[in-house]
Amino acid sequence: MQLCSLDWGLHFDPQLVERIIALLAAFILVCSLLLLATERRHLHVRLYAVQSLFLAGVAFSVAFFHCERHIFIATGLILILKVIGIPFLLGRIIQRLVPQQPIKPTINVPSSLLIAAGLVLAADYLTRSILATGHEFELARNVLTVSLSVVLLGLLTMVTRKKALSQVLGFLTMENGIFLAGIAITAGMPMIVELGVFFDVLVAVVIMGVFLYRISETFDTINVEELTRLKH
Amino acid sequence: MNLESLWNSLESGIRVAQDASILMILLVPLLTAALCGLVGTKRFMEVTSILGTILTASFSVLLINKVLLHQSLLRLGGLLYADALSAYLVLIVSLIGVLATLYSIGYIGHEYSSGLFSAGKLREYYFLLNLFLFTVLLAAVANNLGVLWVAIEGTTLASAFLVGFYNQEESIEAAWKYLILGSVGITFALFGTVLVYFSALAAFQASGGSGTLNWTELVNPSVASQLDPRILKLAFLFILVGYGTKAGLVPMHTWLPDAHSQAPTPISALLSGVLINAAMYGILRFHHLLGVSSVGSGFSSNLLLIFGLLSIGIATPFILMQKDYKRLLAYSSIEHMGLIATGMGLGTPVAIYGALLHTLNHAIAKAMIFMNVGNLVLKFQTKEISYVKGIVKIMPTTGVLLLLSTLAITGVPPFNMFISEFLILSASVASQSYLAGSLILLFLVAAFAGFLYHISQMAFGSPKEGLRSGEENSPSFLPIGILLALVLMLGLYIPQPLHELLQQAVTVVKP
Repeated sequence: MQLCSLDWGLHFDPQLVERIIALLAAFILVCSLLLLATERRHLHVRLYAVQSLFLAGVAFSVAFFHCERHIFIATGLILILKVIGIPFLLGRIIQRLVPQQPIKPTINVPSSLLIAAGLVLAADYLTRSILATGHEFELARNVLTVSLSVVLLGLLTMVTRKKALSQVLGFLTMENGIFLAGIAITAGMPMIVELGVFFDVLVAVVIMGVFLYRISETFDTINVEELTRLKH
Repeated sequence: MNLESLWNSLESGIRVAQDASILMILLVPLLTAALCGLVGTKRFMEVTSILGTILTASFSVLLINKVLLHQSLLRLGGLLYADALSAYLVLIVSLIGVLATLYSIGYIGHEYSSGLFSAGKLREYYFLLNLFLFTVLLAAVANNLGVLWVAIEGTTLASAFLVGFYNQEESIEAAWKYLILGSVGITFALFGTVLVYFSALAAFQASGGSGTLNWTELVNPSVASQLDPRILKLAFLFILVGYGTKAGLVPMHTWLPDAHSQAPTPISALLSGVLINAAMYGILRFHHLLGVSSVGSGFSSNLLLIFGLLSIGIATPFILMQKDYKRLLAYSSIEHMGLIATGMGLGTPVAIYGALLHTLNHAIAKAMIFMNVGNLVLKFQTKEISYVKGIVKIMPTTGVLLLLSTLAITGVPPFNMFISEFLILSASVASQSYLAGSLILLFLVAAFAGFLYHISQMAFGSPKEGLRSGEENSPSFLPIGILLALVLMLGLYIPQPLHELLQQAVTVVKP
């Protein structure tokens, strides 16, 4: 099948390609920041879908411009699972959860964004200190910074938000951050690993969904602060 | 047919079984799980699970034989790999697997017949139990570090419903914490794995090949020496935090006491004896990788030492002031994982030997004491230490067995834990890590006192009025008896094949 740029006899400026990938990666980071800045659950799920779409864009670019054909499979899986499947599933679960007032996060939005900025700077510093300087590593450095930031921001979401659903979304964005690194700096993992990871993430979301439902049924809320019967 | 040809055919049969052993230890549990999921009659699932786990254990013995002869073996085009360390983990998993299944029949059967859950839940239990064993065994024999990750994440997924099995507020809370913390931890580990792959890619590109996550290729000196040390260090940090979460290392341990206390007791025994060891195994693989790379083993050893001592230190006060006897055992698991990590961190061959031996010793001693307190749960319907009194009077057999297992888990000679704790301690003195040695000793003594205090409160005294005397779960004396025999035997001597396996495994941990 003629799928990637070389099949069509197209040659792109490698610098341009790097910039496209870096731009898409930046959008992924923006989605993570927006996720921290909003409180509405439907918006959360949509933001995750949009972030996954940008991730699919990165995957497609790597596959198309660099002719890494096996990444086309990853692109398809991201589109099917992360852009459509998981958001659909979460949307269905939300409909079955008890409706409730918005819950104030432990840290308010402006401060959590400030912490987020600090985390991004830390990720940038860490990446620069481990990756050799030099032009050939520029993309790797940028992507790794974004990837590490998205992982840390996902963790921040999980820690500061009291809703069980936000914890699931935090986990999913962390996973997106790692996929970004896996696709853009290593041109994908070995196929069997990639399929295994996709499978695990899917199963994890289904199981988390079941427990979300059970929490909602048993506790009449999905505020995890109510889950405090077990101590010491 | 004469005797000789019979012997020959038997021998070739064994050879064929040996060759297939690494595949069979995966296929058998998977098939058992499928059968339990499909058929679902109580008696059938019990018999199938027992036969399945015994068959798996037999194949694991064959695998060990093979590994002892050939050092290591590869199957399925390099996808599956076993060396002494993986064979050792397979041995622990399949042994505890058989005994926990045996115990399940009495325990889960008792709860089922008292109407605690439906037949559908019973089917879910046996299906997930076998699936869980499959994922742990896959982690043990995966050659690819990515597949190792997939398998360890699989262990969380297979056991989450088991932790939340009773579907009450507490168990849902425990399962949620377990699921979320386990998944976040494992996400960090994936990041570490991606980083290793990234540095491997660069190393392979330098020599003109393509990247790999295959353990056998990564530890090849010509590749390992090319891996970027800075990236590897960062990767190991992520791996240690990630798999360390599942191994119950402090401060990522908070899911562990909840999950252990809320899960059905046979599952608690499996979490302590199997799951956390598999996570530690994941850390050890990367520890080895750093050791053969230009980073050297100092970096990861020090981290293991710090996290290990921290775990022992934090767990001990919780043991002392514990009110729930299943949580008591859970904190003791954190303490012993800390001790194992400390032994690995000390890094001398004796310390590693001791830490590896301690893994097996802790798995069997902890399984034994969990099975005993499981019988208390059935009798007293509570996990509060203060509500349980006079076990020796009303359940004499369980009472005596509980006291014996308490002595075993606290490392009193002649039980097995004493030997491995002594090895680790003496290694710390020999390597002049006096601080580590004295901290270990201090905390072990404190934990010993705590255990003795709590358990004797429960064992003696006069029982509450209205409790009928008598055992609740007599079938459990079979697995507990086997464990008692093992605990005593390993306290007195270590069989030659086990000794050889341990010695080989030491060189796998630290080349």
